[in-house]
Amino acid sequence: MGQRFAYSARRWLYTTNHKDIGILYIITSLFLFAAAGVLAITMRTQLSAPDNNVLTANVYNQFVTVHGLLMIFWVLSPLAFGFANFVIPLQIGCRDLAFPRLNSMSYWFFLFSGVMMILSFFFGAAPDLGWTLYSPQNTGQFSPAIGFNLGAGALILMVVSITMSSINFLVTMFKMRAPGLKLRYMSVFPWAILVTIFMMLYAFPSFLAAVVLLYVDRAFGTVYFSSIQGGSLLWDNVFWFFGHPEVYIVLFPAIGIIADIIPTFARRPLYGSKYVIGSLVAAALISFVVWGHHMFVTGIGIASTKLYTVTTIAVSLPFDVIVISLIETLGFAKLRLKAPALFALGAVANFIVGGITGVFLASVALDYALRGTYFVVAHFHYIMVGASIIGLIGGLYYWFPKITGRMYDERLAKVHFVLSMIGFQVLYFPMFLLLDMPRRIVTYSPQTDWGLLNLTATLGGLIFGGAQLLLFYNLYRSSRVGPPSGPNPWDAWTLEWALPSPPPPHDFDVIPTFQADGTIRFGSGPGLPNGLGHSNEIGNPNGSSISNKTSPLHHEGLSPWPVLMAFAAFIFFLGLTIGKPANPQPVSYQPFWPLIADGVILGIISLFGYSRETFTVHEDTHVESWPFKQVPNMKLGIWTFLGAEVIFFGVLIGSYFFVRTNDAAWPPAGSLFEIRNGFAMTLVLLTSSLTAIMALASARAGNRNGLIASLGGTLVLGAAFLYIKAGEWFSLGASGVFQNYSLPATSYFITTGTHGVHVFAGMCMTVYLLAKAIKGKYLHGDHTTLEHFGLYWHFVDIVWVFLFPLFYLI
Amino acid sequence: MAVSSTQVQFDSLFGLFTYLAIAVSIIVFSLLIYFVVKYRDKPSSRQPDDTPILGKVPPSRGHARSVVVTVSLSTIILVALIIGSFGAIDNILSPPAPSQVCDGCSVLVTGHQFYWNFAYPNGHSDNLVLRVPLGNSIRLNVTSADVFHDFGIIGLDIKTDAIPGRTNVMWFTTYKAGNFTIQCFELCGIGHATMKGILNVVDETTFQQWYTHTRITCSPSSVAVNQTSQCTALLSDSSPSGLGLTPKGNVTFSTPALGYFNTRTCTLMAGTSKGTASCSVLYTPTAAGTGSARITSVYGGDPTQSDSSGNTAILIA
Repeated sequence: MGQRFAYSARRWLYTTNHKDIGILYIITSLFLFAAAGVLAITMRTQLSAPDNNVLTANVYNQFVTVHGLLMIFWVLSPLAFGFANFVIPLQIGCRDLAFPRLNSMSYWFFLFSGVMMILSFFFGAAPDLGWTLYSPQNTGQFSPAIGFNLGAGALILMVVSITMSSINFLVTMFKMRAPGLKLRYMSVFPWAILVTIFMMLYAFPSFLAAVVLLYVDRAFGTVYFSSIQGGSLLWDNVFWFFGHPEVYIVLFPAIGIIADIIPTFARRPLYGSKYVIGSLVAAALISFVVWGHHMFVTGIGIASTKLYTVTTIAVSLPFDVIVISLIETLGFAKLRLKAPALFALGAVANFIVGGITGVFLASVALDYALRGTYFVVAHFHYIMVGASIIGLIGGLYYWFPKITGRMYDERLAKVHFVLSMIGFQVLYFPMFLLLDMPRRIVTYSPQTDWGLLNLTATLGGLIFGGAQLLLFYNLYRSSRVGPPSGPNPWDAWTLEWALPSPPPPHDFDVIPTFQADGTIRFGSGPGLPNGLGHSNEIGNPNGSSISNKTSPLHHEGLSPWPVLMAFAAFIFFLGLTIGKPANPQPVSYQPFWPLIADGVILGIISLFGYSRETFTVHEDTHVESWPFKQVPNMKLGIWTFLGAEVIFFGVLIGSYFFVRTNDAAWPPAGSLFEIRNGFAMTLVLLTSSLTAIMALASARAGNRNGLIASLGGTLVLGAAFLYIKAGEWFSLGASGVFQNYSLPATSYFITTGTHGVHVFAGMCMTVYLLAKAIKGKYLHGDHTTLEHFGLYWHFVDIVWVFLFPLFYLI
Repeated sequence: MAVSSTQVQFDSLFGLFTYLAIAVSIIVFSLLIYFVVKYRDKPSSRQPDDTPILGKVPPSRGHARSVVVTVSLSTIILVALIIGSFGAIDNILSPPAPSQVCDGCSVLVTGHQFYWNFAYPNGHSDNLVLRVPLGNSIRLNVTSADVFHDFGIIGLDIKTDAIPGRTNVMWFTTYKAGNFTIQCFELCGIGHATMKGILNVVDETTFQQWYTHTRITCSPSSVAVNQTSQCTALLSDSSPSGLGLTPKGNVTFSTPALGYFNTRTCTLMAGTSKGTASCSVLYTPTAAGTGSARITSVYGGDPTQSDSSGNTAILIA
């Protein structure tokens, strides 16, 4: 027993298998769904009657904030990506994600970030100003609790997890699709995930930048958000540039699930699938130019508000196409109303209501009345709960047999559906009628006429919350005693259903091939039977045993380093954020050094272990990889990462421009920062790019001395850059710029500091490369690592090419 | 009966949105329900001949026509909504200039954790009540002294953000007398739920009689050190001439400059024209200082009339 437990603990902690990680994501997010749901029900109880005393304002504000943050970041997305982890490799015919250990690391970062967010309750107070964390209330002056710092740390860890995950999925989906599998052969779910990944890659860096700026303001007393020139509107812009795409990030996977479930149960192909997919792409693009509608009432000007009204109203068009296509799919169908189909249809119904009321809020004129009211709360819960959660639950029932190999209890699931839908409407519809009630108030006066509607909503909340207990019970019980489901209980056509339930660790014995006419074949055999059969032969298409040499290895694919690395990051950020206030005015915090040191040491150990470990990744199938045909996985991953970095630095530079244009009294060029220093640093850094190129050339030529010399040169030049930079920082510090951060100093320290950290990270990589080069590596055609390093190093140099004129010359 | 211009405007635009929303919902939901009921799996239902099967990508189906029709119909509706919204927003964001609104109808509103301050041009300031006249356009400059608030008046269907360092203008015309609740609509801290005020709409005569002005004149306006100047505070309400309510009570004088008053407080005496009153004190500077002395006079108000203040400068030779 003990041994079995140890085996099982080792497996779940160390696993890199996409299916295991998918299950971990699903279970964790369901657990957090319950936790955030309990917060919601407590709040609803408080609001059930006027002048109620269940919660104090202090606790209520923490609940309202953490409920929102948990549901958005730690429930909706991870539940969707739990499915994506499990299903996407199966659907596109590969054996795992491109970077399995990175995938494992994503999960553990996600888990620890969630733990950190919950821990924030125990350090003074959790964040308590709503999930939007508006400025300047988010600064140390107004929210001095240490718990807020933990919350910020949790968000940073979460974004790191999301970034790793998006890079991983992007590379996998572009590079590892089965031979012949064109993008247009994919069903809507993988498409929705692909579009979601792109949105995540370009939206989350903006959020990361916002949280980093905020954290630096809080920890070191810089003034981006406490100044009038930055303040509320800077936060609004960087937050909502991320925030609106985020709404679609949590919605699209559910749409993908719905659009896969409905055709399966209707027994007809999705009507206009290419228009549905096109609509997803269009909506994703438009989602990046609608953020101003969250700022309609901030006074951004009549022309801007009109423009954002048009873009926001226009974004409803693609969704119209999606909804109509889903409905048209049902025409002349043979619709089997099983639980997944019911939830998918219920989600469509809720989505129609949520979408139509969204048009109300897209109108700037109505927003002047509806802003900050329960009408808004009702609208976005119709989207996030009514469409996303209900759709995701549909996915849970849909893939449950695939994941567990067992059937859930259909009758219980139907009861769950009916109660969920009734509870949902009773919970949220009354809120549309609370047109005048402010959001996020802990209580209201008996003189208002809000009592009855609130009581109704609370009763609905209890029904909806109670119904979810049926879900948990059903899943738990059926995973143990449910009848075996067979490989394809729904007669679905997508590839995951061709495998046994649950699929074997290596997924495919033989990688399938897609023919030009869309027929899927396994090996040289005659292809699949017609899919109506339930025989095990489908699951084991040509009856072969494990033949691919990488498969057994991957079966054992356990690695302790991802979880250790995530744990190291966790205690590092904990150390950074749980420190006591060092200074009351402006508030700044003293980090807790012992934990930071532990985190760094553990991080170095696990990084070392990670890089030394022999871990084979299958890169076996990438025939169809438009548009990145000639690009190896790793390189594509780095490009993608640098794409995210472009947004990150873009937001930092944008924030600098924002405060600079708002500040009439900016010191003239050359008066604050020595142009000479800037020029010297530019020269040094550009030369280091040259030596990095020389290093690669030497490696290609097999010239060991040349390689060592040019890598050494790069290292020395990087060090010289940081030396000049440090000198500049210290002299500015000595002249008092550190003591009273003005906006020029704030923007300079944060922007060049972040860049400096990037240079330092590059130098660490150089040390590693140098050590390997001295041992004689990279000379025999194995120089791809050098190439990857070069990409990063040149990127960091290019960033400086932008920073130099911005800070020193203009 | 409507309570304000903003409510009338909101109701008509919200009505347009709601009617169209209901129409669209009826069409879409009927279609959805009809299809689900008609094509649900029952013993008599036919197996569709294009059922997707495992092992083959289903052929694509669906007409571009459907997309064109959906998008076109939606666009017609949405354009109507956009036009309606633009008309309304032009009105919302075109407040009358401070000079175009009545005396006392342009008020600075400042959000604080956790109350609203209303500062009138006459110097009157209140942390609870915003008193305005019926039938007039009211112009509010809204800002914040600390964090992000949102100033909303329940029932008037209008609000605007109160942001530190920024001033947003909001305006409306009052149609109905009475009290309305002012509330904060952006979570601003533990007192958010109780961050309320009262909009008190009173008839125009009551407002004009309530809203006083204090004007101060000093004669001579330029004196040498240790030479005395007589400062007179002239009180009036804002009623049309001849209809006013005569202010009663005391006026208090003060200055940050070096010098002394013969008395700091004087008692108002009714003036020659109805609705005015005045009283005087003597001021004597004792040092040149910055070359001028700013003299402030504050009328304390009474239950029917607002406090107000005025100031002037005496040049000191």
